[in-house]
Amino acid sequence: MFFYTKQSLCAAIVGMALVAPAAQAETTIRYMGLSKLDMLDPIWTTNYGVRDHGYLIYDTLFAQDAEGNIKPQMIDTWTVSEDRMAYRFSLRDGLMFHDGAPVTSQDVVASLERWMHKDTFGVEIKNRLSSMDVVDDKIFTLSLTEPFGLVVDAFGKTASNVPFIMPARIASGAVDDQISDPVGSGPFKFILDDWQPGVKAVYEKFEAYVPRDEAPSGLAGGKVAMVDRIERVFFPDDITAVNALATGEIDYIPQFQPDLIPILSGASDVVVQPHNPLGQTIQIIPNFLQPPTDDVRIRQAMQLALGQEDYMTAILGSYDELYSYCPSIFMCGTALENDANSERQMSQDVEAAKALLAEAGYDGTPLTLLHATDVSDQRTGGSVTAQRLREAGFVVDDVVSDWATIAQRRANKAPIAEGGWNIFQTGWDGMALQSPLTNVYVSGACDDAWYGWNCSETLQRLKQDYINATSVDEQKTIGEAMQQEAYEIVSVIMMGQYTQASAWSANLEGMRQATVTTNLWGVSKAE
Amino acid sequence: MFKYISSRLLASVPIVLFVAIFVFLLSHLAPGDPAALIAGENATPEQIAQIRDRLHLDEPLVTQFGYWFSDILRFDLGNSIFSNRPVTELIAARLEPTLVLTSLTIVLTIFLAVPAGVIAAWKVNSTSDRSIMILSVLGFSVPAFLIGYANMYVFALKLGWFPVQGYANLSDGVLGTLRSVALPAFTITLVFWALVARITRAAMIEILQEGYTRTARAKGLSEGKVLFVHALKNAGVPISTVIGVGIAILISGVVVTESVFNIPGIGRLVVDAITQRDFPVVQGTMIFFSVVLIVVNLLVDLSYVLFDPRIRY
Amino acid sequence: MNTSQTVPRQHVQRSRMVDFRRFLSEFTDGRVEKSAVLILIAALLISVIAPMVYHSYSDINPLDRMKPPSADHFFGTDHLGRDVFERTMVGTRNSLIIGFSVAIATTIIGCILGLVSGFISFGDKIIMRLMDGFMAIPNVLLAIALVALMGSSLLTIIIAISVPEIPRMARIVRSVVVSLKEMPFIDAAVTMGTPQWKILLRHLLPNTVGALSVQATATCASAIMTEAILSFLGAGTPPNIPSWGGIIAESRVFFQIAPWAIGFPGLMLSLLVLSVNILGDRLREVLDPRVARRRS
Repeated sequence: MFFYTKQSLCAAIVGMALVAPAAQAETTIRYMGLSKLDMLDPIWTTNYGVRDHGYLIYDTLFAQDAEGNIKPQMIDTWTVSEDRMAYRFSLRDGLMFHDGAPVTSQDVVASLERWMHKDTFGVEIKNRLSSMDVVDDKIFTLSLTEPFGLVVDAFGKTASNVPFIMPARIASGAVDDQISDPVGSGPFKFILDDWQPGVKAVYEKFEAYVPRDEAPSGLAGGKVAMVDRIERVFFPDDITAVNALATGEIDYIPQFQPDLIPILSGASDVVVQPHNPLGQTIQIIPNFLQPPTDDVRIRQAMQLALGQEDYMTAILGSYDELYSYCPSIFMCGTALENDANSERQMSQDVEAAKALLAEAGYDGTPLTLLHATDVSDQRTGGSVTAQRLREAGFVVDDVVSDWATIAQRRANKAPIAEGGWNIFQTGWDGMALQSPLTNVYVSGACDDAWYGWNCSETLQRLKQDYINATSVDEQKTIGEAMQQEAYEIVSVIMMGQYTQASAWSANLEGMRQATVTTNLWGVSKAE
Repeated sequence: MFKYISSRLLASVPIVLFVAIFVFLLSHLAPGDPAALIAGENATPEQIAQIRDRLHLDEPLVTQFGYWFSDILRFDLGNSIFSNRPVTELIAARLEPTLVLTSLTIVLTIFLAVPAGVIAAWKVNSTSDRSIMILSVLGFSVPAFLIGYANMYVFALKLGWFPVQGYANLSDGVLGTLRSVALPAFTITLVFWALVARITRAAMIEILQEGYTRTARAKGLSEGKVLFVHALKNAGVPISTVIGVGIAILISGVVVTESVFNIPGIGRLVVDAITQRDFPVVQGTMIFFSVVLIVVNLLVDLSYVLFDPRIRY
Repeated sequence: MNTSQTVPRQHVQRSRMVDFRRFLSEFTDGRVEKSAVLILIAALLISVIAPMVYHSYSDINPLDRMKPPSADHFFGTDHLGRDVFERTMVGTRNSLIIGFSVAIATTIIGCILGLVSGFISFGDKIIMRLMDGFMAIPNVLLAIALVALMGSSLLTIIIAISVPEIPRMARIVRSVVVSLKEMPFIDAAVTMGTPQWKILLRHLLPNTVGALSVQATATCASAIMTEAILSFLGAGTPPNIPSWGGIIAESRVFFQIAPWAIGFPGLMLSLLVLSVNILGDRLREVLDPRVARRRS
């Protein structure tokens, strides 16, 4: 890359054009990346922009289809013993890495080991793992120390970190470090030399990829690369991307502020549509360790004071088809969706909040709200939170800073005076919240729980019950019980479920809804 | 001359050193944990701790400074803690757009501002003088990003003359590059030209009252020749000085317009690095900028020789 | 911003002698200057009155988002349903506070540094090297880094904008002092045994007033602009402290959809900065006898 730049610099100085490369007969999709791509390792980071990069170049053992079912992807056949302690998987034929080496069981095992070392769901398997063994180049087995029925769910998970399969030499060479050689076995390959961290990433069709026979559905099915090249470009402002789509400079924007839809609605050659059916949520997290939010009544009063409508309209405007008021801690449209104990969560009642505050003997101890002002949703949401809590009688210390500062401060368990906090806002993808194993708000793990450190023995017990559950109905009942408890102790306040607007040029054929932004296989571009 | 240059460069070593230490402290003392940003919003504390450990972020500041400074002495600016790419490589990759953008801006500025300044001086206190002056104040009275969006709206969206965003590499053809930086360059020019127009005017007013321009006029030289050849040459010193001083203003304009028009230049590299606490990149780019400012000022001083034969180094 | 022309000239001997009333009438002759003064006075009045009248400027009203200007909302509403008029009016105060505080802070600190290094020559080398160091970092980048360090509040923004401006001010003062030091009346004072601090306060300080006031005006205007740039880059005032720059920056992505939300505050900002700059120009002309002579 350095050489290349030096060349262009010379050109700048001499004022001479280098010979332009041959005219492009190939098809290219240019799209706006979900985030800056300045890292390449989807196991090193949970960043969804990097995960989506992963889906282009890596393949997965299992994948979720459009209906939410886990389907084999790299796997041909698999079996599980009746006691759910022994698994056996065999890889399908024709799998090959971008460097030409075939995908073997050794590669899969090495990739899984690295993933289990990092991922929260992976850790659940690792904790129960007796051994993971290579039988031959195509077959590997998993034996567990206790029954665990969710192995395939974990291998097919879509939330970060996704167990992408990479060559063993790369995976085992960098268990704890970021990988530097993005070689996968997916339908597109990464062009490392063209990568400009934070600016642009380039992918080319991997000719040797052998897709499955099924039609593409969600992230499952046959992944057929139908364009030669994909360019991912980052835009600091949505407005620039939207205007670039309107003038045909880019082909696809996976997510943008719906308020900008009117700019595109005039253009006949642009399709505007929600892309991710499940979408995201916004949550307010109370800190269980520090006063005043260590008092459950205070947390319940917050639950009453805040309403989903405020957040959804403030962030998504009048585009109400893009959001819903969802009572479920597992999100709506998922297997575990339910409305247990959601009256307080779903109603916004300032008077009841005040009454509860009085009952709790709230003495005006300020609530320290961490408010990021450089992230659009949080900048907006933080203002809503502060205002509504004040209206309900809380004293709010609205601590504004950039996200980098909050990302650090939220880890602080100490009292407020020593840099602690009471509430902050965050967002999770539906993919992560739908399962009790990855939904951090039903863990109840106290000191070991996610930020906020929600604490409940009931929740811990229910999680174990869920893992042991043998039927979907049983899982649902447990899910309801979990929500009952989580909303009672207020481990989280759910502020609505939404999907961003998405738009693409009408000459892209075959765009499908999915939970990632890069399911660009099966998409062709008419010139 | 060589002696002068080397002594100037030598004198700037402590300045760069100061910048290095200052920026190191500035970035490391700021709250915020890059490991938490690398790990992502939904990461667990354990994942973040693993990353902190790998990046040596838990080591004492002095130790970290030691690592970094010994690298600096070997002209190694370190690697980005996000992309793990060498900072020098990141800067090199972002250099072309910024360089092209600033060069075009300076050229546009000179073509716009110098004639305007000369005319204002020539017709001093006339209506055209006053309007040029007020117009030039207007330039730095409107935020550059608003000018940028207005330009984008009119020239890219309504008229379709230029692309909305992005940068086309020189290696893909000079014309494409010029088209891609035309709007951002024009935007910064609207801010920057004021400075040059004003100094040109001020310098020309003084020069036009001096003896030799009167002599030139008396000799029957055309007014245009007097203005643009004799007088302007003597105004070269203050004009190039102000361009040197203005580089700092230019850089802030570049940072802003690079964001508006999505130009992948160095300005955005720094701002992004500060927001995500990519320490090596913040430190490296700041040092880079300080060296650039020092060199530009040296070049400006050297350029005096061109304009004023009395000056010798 | 327009620093280069402020290199001190002969205003040195005059500034104290200028009769204030003549100064004022000279200062405000011309329609442009008069309007500039009026705008400045209006902005000052707004900034005093607005915060007393308007209290709901930060109130979010999601049902009333991005409404065009009307009798209820003179400047329309922004993407959170906040009243742009109220925010702009209250923002006037914050923008002026930023502009004036930065001007005052840089003047005082720059003055002290410049006097010390120029006159006492104690620490001249060190101070000037430090100043060179600060000047070697582009203003805006240094300011963003400082905001990242200190967090964002009115005070930290003022500090972050001031720090990069101080070296310029210090250099100007220093160059005036250095040139004055050679003057006979200072020599005389020294030989007469006048204490150094007296020379500083009696003879040197008053003579820097001209150059300082010109530079301070320019700094005031550029500080308001710099705050807008910081807001644009995500390092501006927090949402509950509206400033013109902050309001514009928050609504900028909607410039095609809700142009009023950036248009009105943008206009106010530009008018004020323009006025301050025009008055700065005038100040320079009045204080610089050579320019003044030419005008008459």
